[in-house]
Amino acid sequence: MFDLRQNDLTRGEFEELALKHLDPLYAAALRLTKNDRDAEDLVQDTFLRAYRFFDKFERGTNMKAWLFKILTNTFINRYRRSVKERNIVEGSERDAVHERFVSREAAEYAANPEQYFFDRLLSDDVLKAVDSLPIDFRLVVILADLQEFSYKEIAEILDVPVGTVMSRLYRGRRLLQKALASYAVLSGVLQDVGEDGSIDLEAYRKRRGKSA
Amino acid sequence: MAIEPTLTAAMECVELERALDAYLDDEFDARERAEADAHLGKCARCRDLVETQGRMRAAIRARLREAMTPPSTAGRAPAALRQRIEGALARRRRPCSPPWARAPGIGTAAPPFSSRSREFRRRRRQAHIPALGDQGP
Repeated sequence: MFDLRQNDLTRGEFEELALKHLDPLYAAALRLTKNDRDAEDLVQDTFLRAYRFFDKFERGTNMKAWLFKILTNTFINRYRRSVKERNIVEGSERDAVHERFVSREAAEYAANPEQYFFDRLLSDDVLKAVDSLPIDFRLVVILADLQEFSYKEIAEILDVPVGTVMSRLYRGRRLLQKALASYAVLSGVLQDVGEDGSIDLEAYRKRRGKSA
Repeated sequence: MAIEPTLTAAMECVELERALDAYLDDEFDARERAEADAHLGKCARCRDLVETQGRMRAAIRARLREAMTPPSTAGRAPAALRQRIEGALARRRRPCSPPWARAPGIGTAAPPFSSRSREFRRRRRQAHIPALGDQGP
């Protein structure tokens, strides 16, 4: 017997629960694929897969996290190869251990009044800075700082331990800060300051030469 | 979330620094937060650190939101995409419907452009994969 009414009920429920997350899923897909058309295909595939497995979704649990998990898996399985993203996480996660020791320095750099340079950056520069992050870091930054998922939710979405989420997030945020700062320098919002807080010697001489 | 078990009793600067993200991301449980707050109460240097990192975090989050949520086009799915998804969902479980309703042109629009070709290729591939032992001489 064909139960079309039940079918419509299920679809209605799915649409009500899932479609309200369309914008955040699209925003993430766009940053992953860096291309409108692939982003749209990825989101559509995500919804169709979610619908197919809707009976596996436990009512009352986090639909948004579930959809992001499907989006991420779909991207990794189907699109990543074609997008040809280089995964450089392993090396970068080793670096993260070292980076922890310079966090105080980074914070002091941030304490500079120029920290407000972010406010003067264009949205396009913010997007470019996000896009410049290696894919795994980009993902955790989007999930944590844009979608505000908890570490545990991100761990479940990406199927990695919470410790991995924390180290990727740590590294991803620092890379993002750095990228934002470099766009600020490019657009003249921020003066170029070296990693240790000193001004680049060549830039210093150039400036001195001009003022002399 | 569970933080390292060594983070008990009085918290030191180095421990707070290591767990700064978790503190600012509100991932500490009540006990861990109380320990961190007790340390911050008597350490001006760490208070500064938390404050600057917190401000920096808030500024970045605000910029990400601005760039990647509506009305920014990078944060809003095109209306056509929503329609495509609704249309695809409506068709998706229709294989359950009687065969006469599946004839082309009855109550269904053309499948969406990109997934049409992908889906079509997939189905054709599947259809053309001969079953084992079915390959003939």
